[in-house]
Amino acid sequence: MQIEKMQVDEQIGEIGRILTDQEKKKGIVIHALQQIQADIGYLPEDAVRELSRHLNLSMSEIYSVASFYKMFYFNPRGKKIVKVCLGTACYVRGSKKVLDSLENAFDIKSGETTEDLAMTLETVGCVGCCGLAPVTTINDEVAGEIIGSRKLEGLIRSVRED
Amino acid sequence: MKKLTSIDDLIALRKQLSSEGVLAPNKKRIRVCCGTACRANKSLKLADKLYSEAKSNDTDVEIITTGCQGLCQLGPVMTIQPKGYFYHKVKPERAGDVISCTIKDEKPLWDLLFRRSIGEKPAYFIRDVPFYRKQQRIALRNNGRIDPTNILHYIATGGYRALEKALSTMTAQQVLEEVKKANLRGRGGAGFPAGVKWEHTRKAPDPVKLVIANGDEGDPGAFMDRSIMEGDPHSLLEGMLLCAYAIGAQQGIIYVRHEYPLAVKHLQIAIKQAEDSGLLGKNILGKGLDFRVQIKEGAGAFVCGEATALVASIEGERGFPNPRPPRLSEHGGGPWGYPANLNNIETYVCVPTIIEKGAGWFLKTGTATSPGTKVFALTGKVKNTGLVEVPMGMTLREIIFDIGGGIIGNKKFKAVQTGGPSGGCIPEQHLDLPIDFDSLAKVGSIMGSGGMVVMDEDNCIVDVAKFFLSFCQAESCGKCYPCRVGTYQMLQILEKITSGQGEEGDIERLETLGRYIKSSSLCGLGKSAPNPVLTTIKYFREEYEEHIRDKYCRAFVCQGLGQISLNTDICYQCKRCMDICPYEAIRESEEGLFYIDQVFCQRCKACFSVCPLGAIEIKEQPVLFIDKELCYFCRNCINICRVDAIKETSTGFMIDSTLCKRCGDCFKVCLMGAIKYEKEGKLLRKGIVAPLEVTVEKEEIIGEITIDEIRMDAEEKTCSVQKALTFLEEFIAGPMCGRCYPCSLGTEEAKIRLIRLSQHLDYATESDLQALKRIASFMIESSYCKKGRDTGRFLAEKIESAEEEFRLHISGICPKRECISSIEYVVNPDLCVACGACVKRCKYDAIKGEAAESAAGVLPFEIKQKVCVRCGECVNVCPTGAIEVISRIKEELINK
Ligand SMILES: Cc1cc2nc3c(=O)[nH]c(=O)nc-3n(C[C@H](O)[C@H](O)[C@H](O)COP(=O)(O)O)c2cc1C
Ligand code: SF4
Ligand code: SF4
Ligand code: FES
Ligand code: FES
Repeated sequence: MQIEKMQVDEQIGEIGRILTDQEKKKGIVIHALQQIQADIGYLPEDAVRELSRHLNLSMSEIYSVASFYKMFYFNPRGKKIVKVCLGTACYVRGSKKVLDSLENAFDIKSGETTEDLAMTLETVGCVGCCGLAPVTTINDEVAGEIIGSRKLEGLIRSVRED
Repeated sequence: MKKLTSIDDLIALRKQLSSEGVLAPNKKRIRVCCGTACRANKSLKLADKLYSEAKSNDTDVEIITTGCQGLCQLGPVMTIQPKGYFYHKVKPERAGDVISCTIKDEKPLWDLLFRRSIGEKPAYFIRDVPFYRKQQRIALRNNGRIDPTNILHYIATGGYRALEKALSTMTAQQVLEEVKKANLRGRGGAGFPAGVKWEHTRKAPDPVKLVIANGDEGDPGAFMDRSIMEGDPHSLLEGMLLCAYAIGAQQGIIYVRHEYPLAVKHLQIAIKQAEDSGLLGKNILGKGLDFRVQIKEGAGAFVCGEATALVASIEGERGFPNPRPPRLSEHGGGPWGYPANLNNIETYVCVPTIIEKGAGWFLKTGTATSPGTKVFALTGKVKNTGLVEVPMGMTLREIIFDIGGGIIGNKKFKAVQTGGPSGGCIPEQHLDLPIDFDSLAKVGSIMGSGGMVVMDEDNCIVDVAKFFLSFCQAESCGKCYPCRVGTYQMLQILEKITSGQGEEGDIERLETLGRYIKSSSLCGLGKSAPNPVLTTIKYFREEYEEHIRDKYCRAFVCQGLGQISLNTDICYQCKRCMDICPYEAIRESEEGLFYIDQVFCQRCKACFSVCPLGAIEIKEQPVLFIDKELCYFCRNCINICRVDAIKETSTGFMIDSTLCKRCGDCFKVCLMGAIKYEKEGKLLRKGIVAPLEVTVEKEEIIGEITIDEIRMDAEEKTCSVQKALTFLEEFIAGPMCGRCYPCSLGTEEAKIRLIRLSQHLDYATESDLQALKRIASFMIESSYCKKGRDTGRFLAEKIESAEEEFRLHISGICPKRECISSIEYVVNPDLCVACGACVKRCKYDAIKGEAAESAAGVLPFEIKQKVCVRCGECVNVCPTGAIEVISRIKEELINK
C-alpha cells in the first residue's frame, strides 16, 4: 500500500464523522502500521518516516505506539514465520518441548530469525485451537497435536522444505 | 440482495425462506465444521471434496460449512441430516463414502461414529454423544448449524426476530428493563450486570454514544469469543443493535484480537451483508434507528482487553489503562470522550434470546444469582477438549468427567484453572462445586472469560503458577509500579523455587508480595496477576514446600530438582539416554551397567523423557553430612570430591550442601562410615540437624596423683632428661593449679625446653640448659605451695646430678639410649639368623629382607630408617638380639 495515497477519512470509516482531524489521524495509526507491515513484513524506518510526514504526527508518537504492541517488528523477518503456541492449553500439553526442539534444530532462539532469512521463530499465547494442543503455526497454517518425536521431526522437515 | 425497509419486509423474507425450504429439518444436509481447529485438519478440503462428489454423483444434498461445533479435538467433525448422524475425524478421502453410503443409502459409516473406547457401542446421533448430551446452547445456539457467511441462514433460523420484536413492540426503556430483569451478567470477567451498565450509559447526557464489543480474548486457553465471531457473527450484530437501541447509540466498534484473521473476515462479510440488507445503517427497518458497526483490530497486547486500555487502543494510543472514574459509561470515559457501553462478545450474543423469549425464560436456567448458561473452553488434560456451553450451577465434576470424558490416560486429576491467567486453581476437594460467578469467587478463583484448563498429576503446580505469572508479567503494560516490579519479583522467586534454589520464607514472601500487588495495582491485570500463585499456595502449599525443602518435584517437571538415577534392573541398555544426555552424564560402569554420574548430571530430565522403559527414576535428593564423632580427619573424602564440596572448618570437616552433587563418592571412601545421608526434607523439617545421641561411658574417677607418685614414675626412666620431662608433664596434667606464675608459666616453659633437648631439635642450645636451671631456682624460691617448690627442686636435682648428660643431648646424643630421636635401630648381620620374626612384627613395614630356610644367597635384613618410628618392638622379638640400638650421631665425632 502506498502511504501517500492513504486516505484518512476512508481508513477511519463512519466513526470519523464524530471526530476531529487530529483524532482521526491518531486513530488510524495502528491500522496504517498494520497495513505497512502486511506489505513489507516489518516496519522499516523509511516507511515510518513517510507515515509520520503523511499524517503530520511526529516519529516519536508513531514509535511510541508501535513499540507498545507485540505484533509490530522493526527488523526484517524470515520467509516462514513459525509460531509455537505457549498458551495455557498448549503449555500443559507440552509445547515447551516443541519450542526447544525447534530452537535446537535451527540453532536460533525464540524471537530470532535465521541468518538466511528463511524462518523466524516466535511464540504466541493461544491461537485459539486449544483443542489441538500443542499447536504451532507456520505462516498462519495451523499444525496441531505435535506430540511425540515423529510428529516433531515432521514439523521440522516441513519448516525446512520450501 | 434486496434492501429491507420495514419490519414487514423482514417477516416476508423469513416466510419466503421457509417456503423455499432453507434449513428445513427434513432435508438431506451435511454440516461440515470449518472452524479454525477443523480447518487445521483439512476440513476445507473435505468440504470441497463433498461438493464435487455430490455433483458427480448427482445427489441432492446441501453442504454447509459451519463455524466451530465444539468438539475441536476430534475434527473435522460433521453432522448429517435428517437422521442426525455425528461423524468425527473425517479425512477428505472419506468424502465419497459419506456421500454414497450415508446420503444415498442412509446408512452410517461405522468407523466415523464417535465412541468412547474401542469396546463400547458407538454413538450414532449427536444427541448420544456424551460431550453434547449435557450441554445447553444459548450463546452457541447457531454455532455449527448455519453458514456464518450467509445472512439468509441466520434469518431463516429466526435471526433478527428479537430486533423485529424490539423495534415494533418495545420501547428502548423496555428493552433495557428486560435485560436488567434477566440479570444478564457480563461474560467477560467480573460478571457485572449488563442491564445496570446499559442504564448508566443511557443516562449519560451526551448525544453521541458508542457500543463496543470486546473480542480481544487475550486469555491464553480460551476461544469462545472467537468461535462466536467466526461461527455466528450476526448474533453479535443483533445483540449490539439491541444495545444501541436501548441506550441510544449510533456507532458500534468490535475490537478483535489480531490473531483471529478468520473472525475478522467473517465479521466483515456479516457487516457488509447486514448493511446491504438494511439491517445496519440509517433508519433501520424504517424505524428511525441509525447504527453502524466497525471492526478494530488489536495489535497483540493482552492488557488491551481491559476497558480503559481498550479505549486507548481504539484511539490509536499506547494501550495503557487509565484510572477510573470517569467510567466508560460516563461523559469523557469512552473513546474520544464519548460514553460507551463495553461488553463481552458472549454477553451481547445472549441478548437476542432474552428479548425474543423474555427474561422469565432466561431466568429459568442457571442459578439464582447467575442465570443463563456459560461457554467454557475446556482444555488441558481432558479426553474431549473443546467448547462447551452449560447452565450455570453445573458442577466441575460433571463438566470435566461427563462432558470432558475424564482425564487422558486415566491419570489422577489434580486441579482445574478457571479464569485464565487471572484466575485461580481449584483442587479436587472443590470438584463438586456448582459453578457460577459467586461460588468461584468464594474458592478464590474467578469465572473470567471461561477458560478451563484441566491439570493432572503430571503437571507441576508450581510450574503452572509460574507459567501464568510469567504471562501476566510479560503482558504488564508497565504503567504502575506494583504490577511491573512486583510480578517480576514474584516470578524471580518462583524461578528460584522451581530450579531448586528455594529458601525457607519464599512462600511467605510470595504471599506478601501478592497481597501488595493485588491491593495497589491500577488495573485488573495487576489486581489479579498474583491469583494463580496465591490460590496454588493456598491449596497446594505442600507442593511448594516440597520444592523448597526436599528439592523435589513430584510431577517431575521442574528441572534441577530431585536426583536422577538409573534403575539397572529395568535398563536394557538401548543407549537412548546416553545419546540424548547433553552433559554426557550417563556412563558405563566397570561391570558394564549404566549409571548416572551425578557430578555431570544437570537434572535436565532429558533422559527421563526418552527412556522407553521408565528405567530413569527421579527421587528425592538425599543430603550427605559428616558425623563428627566418627570422622578422624583422614582427608580421603576431601581428596576424592570432584566439586570441592567438603570444607575444613575449625570444628572439623563439613559438606557444603550447595556444592555437593550427591554423587556418593566420598560415601564410598570413608573408612569410618562417618559420611551419612538422610532425606533432606526430614533433616530440615526438624529445624536443625538433630543432636547426635552419644552414650558416654562412665569414667572411673581417679584420685589426684601425688608428687611422690609422680616422682616414682619419673624415676623409672633411665635418662635424666626423660626423668625431668615425665615429672613435669605429669605435674602439669595433674596437681598443678596454675595460681602462681613461677609455677604455671615456668613448668610450661621448662617442658618445652626439655622437649627440645630430648628430641634433639636443631635449635636446642646451651641456653636451654641455662634457662632450665634458672626456672628451677625461681620455682624453688617463689612458688606459692609445696608442690611447685618440689617440682623445682626435682628439676634442679636432675640437672645438677647429670649435667653432662643434659649437655650431650644438645649435641643429639642420649647416652642412655632412651630419647628416641637420637637413636637408630640397626640389624647386626653377624647375629641375624634371617628368621623374619621382626618383619612380621613391624607394624610400619620398616624392615626389609627375606626370611629364608637356608641363609644362603638371601638379601640381608635391613631397617629403613625413614620409615622406622623406633617403637622397639623388633628388639623384643628378636631371638638372637641382633637388633642393636645405636646413637644416631657418633659420640666420637662430637668429642673431637
Ligand atoms: C487484563 C484484562 C484483560 C481482559 N481481557 C478481556 C477479554 O479478553 N475479553 C473480554 O471480554 N473482557 C476482558 N476483560 C474484561 C473487560 O475489562 C471488561 O470487564 C469486560 O469486557 C466487560 O464485559 P462484560 O461486562 O460483558 O463482561 C479484561 C480485563 C482485564 C483487566
Ligand atoms: S496493573 Fe499492570 S497492566 Fe494494569 S496499569 Fe498497572 S502496570 Fe499496567
Ligand atoms: S537429567 Fe539430563 S544431565 Fe542428568 S543424566 Fe539425564 S540427560 Fe543427563
Ligand atoms: S493454548 Fe495453544 S492454541 Fe490455545
Ligand atoms: S473447529 Fe471444528 S469443532 Fe471446533
